[in-house]
Parts: sequence; structure tokens; C-alpha cells
Amino acid sequence: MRTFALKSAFILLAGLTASLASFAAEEQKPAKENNEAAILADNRRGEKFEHNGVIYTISSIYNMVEAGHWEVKYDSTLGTATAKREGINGLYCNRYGEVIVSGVSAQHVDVVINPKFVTKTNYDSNKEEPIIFTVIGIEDNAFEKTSLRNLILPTGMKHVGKEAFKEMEITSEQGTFFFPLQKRVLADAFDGLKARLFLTFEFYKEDCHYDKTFRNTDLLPEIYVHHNNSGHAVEGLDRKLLYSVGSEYQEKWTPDVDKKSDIKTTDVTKYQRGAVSYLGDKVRFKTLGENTVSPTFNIRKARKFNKTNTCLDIFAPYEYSCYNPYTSQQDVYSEFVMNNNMYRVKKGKEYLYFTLDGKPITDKKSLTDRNGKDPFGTQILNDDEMKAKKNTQNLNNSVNNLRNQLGF
Amino acid sequence: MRTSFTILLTLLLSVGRLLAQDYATGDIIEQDGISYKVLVSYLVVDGKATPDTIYGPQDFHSSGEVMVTKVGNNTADVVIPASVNKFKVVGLTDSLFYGHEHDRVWLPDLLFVGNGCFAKMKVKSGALVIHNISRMGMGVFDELDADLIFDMTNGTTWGNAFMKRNADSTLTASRPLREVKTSARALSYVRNCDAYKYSISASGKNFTKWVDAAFRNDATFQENDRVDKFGRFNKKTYSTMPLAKSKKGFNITARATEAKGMQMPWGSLTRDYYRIAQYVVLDKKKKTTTNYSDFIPVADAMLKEGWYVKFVGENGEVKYKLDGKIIK
Repeated sequence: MRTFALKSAFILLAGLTASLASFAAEEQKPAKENNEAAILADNRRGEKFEHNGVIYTISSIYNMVEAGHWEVKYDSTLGTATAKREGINGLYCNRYGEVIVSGVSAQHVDVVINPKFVTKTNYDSNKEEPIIFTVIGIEDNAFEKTSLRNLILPTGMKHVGKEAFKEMEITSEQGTFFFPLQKRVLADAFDGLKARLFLTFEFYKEDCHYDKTFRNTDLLPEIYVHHNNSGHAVEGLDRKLLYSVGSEYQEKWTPDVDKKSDIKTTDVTKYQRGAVSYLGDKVRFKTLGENTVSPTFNIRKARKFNKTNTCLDIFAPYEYSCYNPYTSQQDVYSEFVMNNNMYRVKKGKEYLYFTLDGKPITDKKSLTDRNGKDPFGTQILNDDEMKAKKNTQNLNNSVNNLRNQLGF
Repeated sequence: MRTSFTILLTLLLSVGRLLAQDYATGDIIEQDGISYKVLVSYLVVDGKATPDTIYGPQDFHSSGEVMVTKVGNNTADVVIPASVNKFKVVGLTDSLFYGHEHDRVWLPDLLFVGNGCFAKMKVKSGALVIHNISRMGMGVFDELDADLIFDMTNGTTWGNAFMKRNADSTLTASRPLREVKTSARALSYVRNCDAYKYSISASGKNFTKWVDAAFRNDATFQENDRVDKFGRFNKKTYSTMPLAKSKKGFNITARATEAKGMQMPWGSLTRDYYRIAQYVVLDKKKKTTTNYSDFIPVADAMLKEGWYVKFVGENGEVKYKLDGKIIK
């Protein structure tokens, strides 16, 4: 009888301690962010990295649920990567990004900027999935006073900054800088360019705007277009500045590197492929696929974001607006990631977890592993929380051991 | 006495008429070291003449078209005028400038240039300026050692101007050694021609700079008239006008047509090329138009006006009084 009373008292004490410890952990949880606060779409926005001799700045990274995933093959000799869509039947969370060109890391070389490229995700420490980056713009003064053998650009970029190619030199035999049509080019982009400038307009039908790009005519190089495009009207472009030439000159002036490159200055079909330098039509997805009752996500430009007064501010990061049929709630998130069982979103600084049909997972700590990381590899518990969690686990273990010993 | 006076007057008028008709088809005119061949000649009146100021056959003179057949190779500057002795310069013969070397060349608007006309020619000012040329032969600019500048305002028929025929009868591309330059406006005219592929175009000041440089910025050299302004090429031969309300009489218009079977001035070529004069007579009363191949104003003292007109056509001779009535 006495032994039983002792046992009961001990168990009661242990339970009390455990509940106290868990309460303390609850207290340490960060306060919920105000919805009105500025939302950062991705914490890697503004980060710079180098790829094939070009320095890029990340504008945004976003995930999208699609049928199939990107299988990437890296060619170590050429330093290039090619991506191919695989496993079309299943749903996968693919990663995409948008970058702007900030400069080059080497001089006197051929620089080819592909409209889209794939890199290993060394910007995300735990993931081996590729990110497919789209080049959407060129920063102010990005190529100022550089000396390159050739520079090949994609067409249809949203923005080319001020004095982007000022006093740039093209040192190849052809000495021609092929400049495809971009949606907007700012002032004095080509002042003092030491090369023949060739504007190409193939198959780009959207409105384009050249803002004071060609204003100081004394400092401009000779500007050429193809005869076929000599009637092409672009706002801000004075036709009297231009010389137009036939195909023979265009072919003669086409740089050697063009023959090796993915994008070709004379091949119009390649231009069509490269002409999508922005998030396309596919901005809506469901976590369980189309024709199901599951949370619907729309990717859109963030209404509010932290501005830093750089060229990057022209491009808003993306955010996810979501309607969850399980909770019947509409919400806006800055991040989204998904695996086979659940998805995670970020609202303010807080991570929220849901099953794929939209049911909220409230017991977040149960999802974390021994290092305090969630199933997506993100560290979500801080040191104190980790200690509390370890204490609770130890206590639970000891209680379980006791139970086993006492035969409950 | 009266009869003898009439005969004398008739003779005088005939002599005047003969003097007025300076050149006939096939004649060679030489002027300023350049030879021209008369391709066609026809009778016209002065541009400002009216029925009141035409008193007889002496008021008609011959006009027509000529082709340049020879240009001296030693002259530094060559100016092909728009007209010679009231004859319009309409074309350049085959190989006219072949292998020539000149400092500057000025050309008027032309109807045609023959095969290889500017082939292997060297222009020291650096460029050859071409104004309106309606039709071109084959290999016209083959290995031309100068920039070729097209300063055109009309469309053209290029034929094989940028092709040449080899010894084995195959056709290959033929092009100038240097750049082909056009004004942006003229670009549409060369669109259907190989020159389009290897030409550079500019508009406004840029194009003017090219042309000025070709003539060494010499304004007087550039001011050679492209179009004759003095009505010498007036096609009006005779009319009862200006009595516009008059329902009688006739209008006669002279024109030149292509000789049958030789519609293009190349092939066996411009050596044998002639055009045929034609007079179009519009009878105002009957509202009919008749074509005649020849026209002769004839002095006749017996008539009140002192002269009548005679046409020669398919149906033989037809004689008209000046009021349009046929003389039977």
C-alpha cells in the first residue's frame, strides 16, 4: 500500500515538472508578426553570385507545384547545365528564380548571358534541387568601362539600367555589339560604346520603351538595324540615327561565339524561345493538383517589400496568395515549400505547416528532428527552445523508463 | 503673179520645216566629248505655243530621245546632261563606262542602262550616285570600284542587274566591290533585288553626307538638272486648244513606243535599239482616238489658214484641215 502511494506521488511530480517545462517553452515562442508589416518574399533577395563569368543579383526565388520535376545534367568540361522535365505523372515542387545582371568577373572574354540557366542550389544549404534562373534585367553601370571580346544578351528583358554599356569595348574581329530589343532601356545606355551597335528586333511584339537612351548623339557609336526592321517603331528611338543593312552585313558581323552559344543573334527561333524573361502564365497551382479540393496558390508581385534604393527595387519580389478550403481562409505568404505529406508557408517571420488538403498542423515541435530542423531542412528552433525540447524529451524518456520498470 | 508668190511661200515654208527637223532616228549627236544616238524623233511644238501662235509648218521642230553611246575615258568629271539639242537622254548603251576611270560622274534620270554599263569602273571620289533608272541590263555594277549610292524616288525594274552570265551560260552573283548605299526611302525599291542583302541605308543627314562626299561637297556639280524644266519634252504636237469649249478640232500628242520584238533594250543589245514615234489624235467632235505613225504639216497657200496636217497610218494618208475636217 505504501509503495503504491510513493509511486503515485512520484508520477504526479514528474507529470507536473513536464507540463511546467513545456509551458516555459511555450512562453519563449516569438510573438506573431503583424500582417501589415513589410513582407520579404525571400531572404536571399539582393544576394550576389557568379555564374559563367557573370555576376548576378538575386531578385526573387519562388517555388511552384508542377507535374514533373527538373532533372539537371551538369557538364563539368563546359561548365554548363541542362535541365529536362522528368516524372510528368507526379506532382513536384520546382524551384525558380529571377536575377539581374550586375557585372562581369573577367575581362577580354566572350560573355554569353542565357535567358534562362540552371545552377546547383548552393544558396540553399540542405537542398540539392536545381533552381532555374531567368535573367530579367541589367543593373545601372553593369558593363561600364569593361572590355569584352563579345557580349551576347537575351531579348525581352524588363529593364536595362542607366549607362549600362557606357564606354564598353568589344574587342573581337567583328567589333559588333548585337543588342536585342528589351522592354525598357534607360538613359545613356550606349554612350561612348567602342563598338558597332546592332539593334535586333525579331519577333518581339510587346511595347518597348527607350527612355533618353540615344540622347547625346555625339557620344553614340554607329547604330545599325536590319532593313526588315527599319520600319519598326520603338518609343524613344529616332529613326534618323540608324543605318539599316542587309542580311549579308548582319551575317558578316555576327560574332564567332554566336555559333557556339545557345542564343544566336541571327537565328530568330532562338529569340522566340528567349523572349520570356518574366513569370509566365502559369502562376496558379493547387497542392493536390488540379480538379481537387485543396489549397489554391497564386503567385503575384508583392505589394509591400523592403526597398534599398538600388536597381533591384524596380523588380518586386513574388508572394503567394492562398485560399484554403479546409479553413475557408484567404491569406498571403512570403514563402512556400512542399513535400509528399505537407506544405510549409511563411507569414511574417513565422512558419506555418499544413497537410496537403489544407488542415493546419498545430504541434509544430513534433515535426522537428533532433537538430531542431523541420522536414524541409530549415532550423526553426533556437537554442533555448532546443534545450527545453531536450529537457522535455529527457523527462518523457525517464517517465517512460519508470513506467516500464514499475510495470504500468 | 499671185500664183508665183504662193509657190515661193510654199518653198520657203518647206525649207523652214526641213531646217527645224535637225536629227532623224539613227543620227549621232556629238557634244562635249560625249556621243549620243537618236533613238526616235517626232514633231512637236514649243511648250508654250497655242493655236494662235502657230502659223504653219515652220513652228514645228523635232524632239525625241537619245542614248549615250560613247564617253571619253580621259575626262576627269563626266556630266551626262538630261537633254541634248531638244532631245531627251533616256539611256546608256552597253558597257558605256566599262573599265573607265573618272573622278566624278553625274547621271540624270534614265529609262534604261545596258549590260555591264558600269562594270569594272573606278570612281576616284569614292562613290557613284544613281538617280532614277527604270530598267537595267545584266551585270551593270559588276566589280564597280566605288560605293554605289541609290538616290531614287521611283520604283525600278532591276532584271538581273546584280547577276552576270558566265562562259558556260550559268548565272552568278555580280556585285560592286564596295558598299551599296540607299536612302531609307529608296529601300523599298531595292527590296526585290539582290542589292537588298548587301546594302546599307540611312535617312536624313546621314544619307546627304554620303551623296555630298560622292561629289566632293561641290554644290555646283550637284546642281546638274535632273529633270528638264523648259518644256522641251512637251509631247503636244498640235491642238485646237486653248479653245477648250470648242467642240471641233483635234489634239495631237506625240509619243515613243517600243519597237516590236525589242521590248527590252538589251539582249542583242542597245546597238540595235530604236523606238518608234507615234501620234495620238483625239477627234473632239467624234470623241475617237486614232494612232498614226507619221505626221507632216504641209503648207498650202490655197487654204485660208495657209497649211494643213497630214497623217500616215495603217489606212494610208489622212489629211485634215485645222478645224478637224477631213480633206478628201
